[in-house]
Amino acid sequence: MTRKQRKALHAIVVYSLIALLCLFAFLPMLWMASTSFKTSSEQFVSPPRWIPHNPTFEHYTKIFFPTRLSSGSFQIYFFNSLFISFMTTILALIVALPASYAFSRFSFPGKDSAYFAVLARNMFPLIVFLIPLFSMMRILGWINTYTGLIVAYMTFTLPLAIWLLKGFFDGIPTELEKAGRIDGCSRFGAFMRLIVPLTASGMTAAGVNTFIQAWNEYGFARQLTESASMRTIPVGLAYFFTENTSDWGGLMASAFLFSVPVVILFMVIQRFFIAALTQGAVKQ
Amino acid sequence: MAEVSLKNIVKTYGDVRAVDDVSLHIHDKEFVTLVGPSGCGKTTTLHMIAGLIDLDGGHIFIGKRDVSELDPKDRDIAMVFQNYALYPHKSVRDNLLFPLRMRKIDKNTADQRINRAAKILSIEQLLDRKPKQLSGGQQQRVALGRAIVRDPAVFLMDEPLSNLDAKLRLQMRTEIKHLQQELQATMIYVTHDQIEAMTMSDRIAVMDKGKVQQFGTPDELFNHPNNVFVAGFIGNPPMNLIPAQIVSEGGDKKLRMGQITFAPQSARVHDLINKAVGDKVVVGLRNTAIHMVAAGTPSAINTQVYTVEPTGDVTYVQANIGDKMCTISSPDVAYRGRLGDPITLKLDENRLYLFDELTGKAIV
Repeated sequence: MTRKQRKALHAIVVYSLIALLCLFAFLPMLWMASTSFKTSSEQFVSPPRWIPHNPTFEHYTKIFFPTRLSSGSFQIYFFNSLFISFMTTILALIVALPASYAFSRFSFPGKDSAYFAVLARNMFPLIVFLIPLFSMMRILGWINTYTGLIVAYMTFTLPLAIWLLKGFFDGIPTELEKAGRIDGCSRFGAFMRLIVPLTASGMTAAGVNTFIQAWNEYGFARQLTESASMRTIPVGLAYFFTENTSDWGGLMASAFLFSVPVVILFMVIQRFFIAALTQGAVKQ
Repeated sequence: MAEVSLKNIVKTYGDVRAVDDVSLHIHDKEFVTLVGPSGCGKTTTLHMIAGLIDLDGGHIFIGKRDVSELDPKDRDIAMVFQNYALYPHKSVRDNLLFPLRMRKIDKNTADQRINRAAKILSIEQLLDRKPKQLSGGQQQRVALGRAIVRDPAVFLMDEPLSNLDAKLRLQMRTEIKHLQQELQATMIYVTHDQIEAMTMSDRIAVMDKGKVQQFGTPDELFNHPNNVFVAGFIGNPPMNLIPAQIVSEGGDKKLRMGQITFAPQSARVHDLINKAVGDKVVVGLRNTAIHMVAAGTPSAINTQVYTVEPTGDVTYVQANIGDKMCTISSPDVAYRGRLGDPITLKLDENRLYLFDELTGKAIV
């Protein structure tokens, strides 16, 4: 084999593997989209059809205008998910920004243990926090409230956000704040005017991550909400299966709409996001 | 511009006294350098003057004001950092504007000052660029510019040339010195490079272990070092410091350096020897105070070449005196001795220093 042929073969192997991986990721998504446009009878025909013969929007109509009174409508789930994810992101950033800055810049008693405690959260499966959280929320009267869920989501969004942002702060030379303080800023002023603008990409990375984590969360939302009006989309999806029925069409239509915001979010800021993650990782 | 006074300032980290009772009085319009090896406390001292590090004791005055408790922004200082610390998200112009805007200086005055600083530093054509688009030397100029526009009472420089390549460092060295004289600025400059200190400063404070070892003009430090540390630190190549013992032979005091016993001829050196407290001393000789002479010269030392280092305009010869490797300037630039070649050395007794081995202090 010549050198050229070897290179070509190499490319073929690499691209085949990549294609296989893409198929693996995309086929279920395509199947989901396809099924959401099929009538109930067409969903189970054999052999399965990728393109529906009689495309229908009935499932979409159904999820927005449910006939059963007990089930919430998709727009309510959607609003709940959006609101909770958005507020979780804002709160996580508000807390993580000063926290990670302190971990990066200050030395204070118990700093290492505190930082360890933050990261140690990741050593336990989330589900072990559910029961204590549930008890706490009940005492606080936060069961079935937005506040309850948003606060509960801090347990898994904050550690990652703090860790990510600390990496960014570590990469910014301390001389910048020193120069700022000499140039006329207070310590806090230097942080706000000089350091925060430099972490814009870091905040985006941490923010997007937090948003997606909160958007996808199921377990906490399932246990800490009670009424249909408080359900988030992942919880709502579970209600398409009842004891007697399995509403595949409704499920697929909802799941399809559920994935759209995240896909769009990712497509828009993908480049930025990757740059941000690698920039934080490599210190200058 | 203003004078700066440090009165018994102290900084401790745990058990370490990073800055140990340092007092300096720096005159108005003076260029003073704090120089010393890493960890000597020079940068800590500078940061204490800036207000970036709190004092554990003592006072700092800028002009007549006690600034010990003031925030950096209220001390009327400007600082240039080793890594320049330019604000990466701001253009050069905005970097220069930032300190002025923080001080609420009106737009016209600010523009005037920026243009003046840009002209002095020849960075006019760079004003709209971002720091990332500049070379190291250009970034350094912008950092200087950001200090100049402030028109501060004191300029503080924290190893500003260390990140530049050797050639640029020489050029900027000249420029900073020129700038200080042009602006009639009080400048406190920190470096570990004694050549920078020697070439730029009106006075130098040599620091070691948190203390000022000697504060004086470059000439004073070079010609009259207070102690062994200053003698070994100032000068390039450093002073040859040879451990010696004072011995009496036939009622005559001599200096024994390893295998060699040196009988001083001059009254000056005898006088120094008589002033020594113990019998252990250190003999200090600059490379130019040891002469290569013809073999057989009376009261000269015979030794052998270790290496020869031609630099172009000077040729250094390394050879042992006693057990100590010494550097000697060869009188003949073209001298190219080989390992083991015999040479004869004559010590210049008028320029021989004697230090107490125990305290390190110069015997005078």
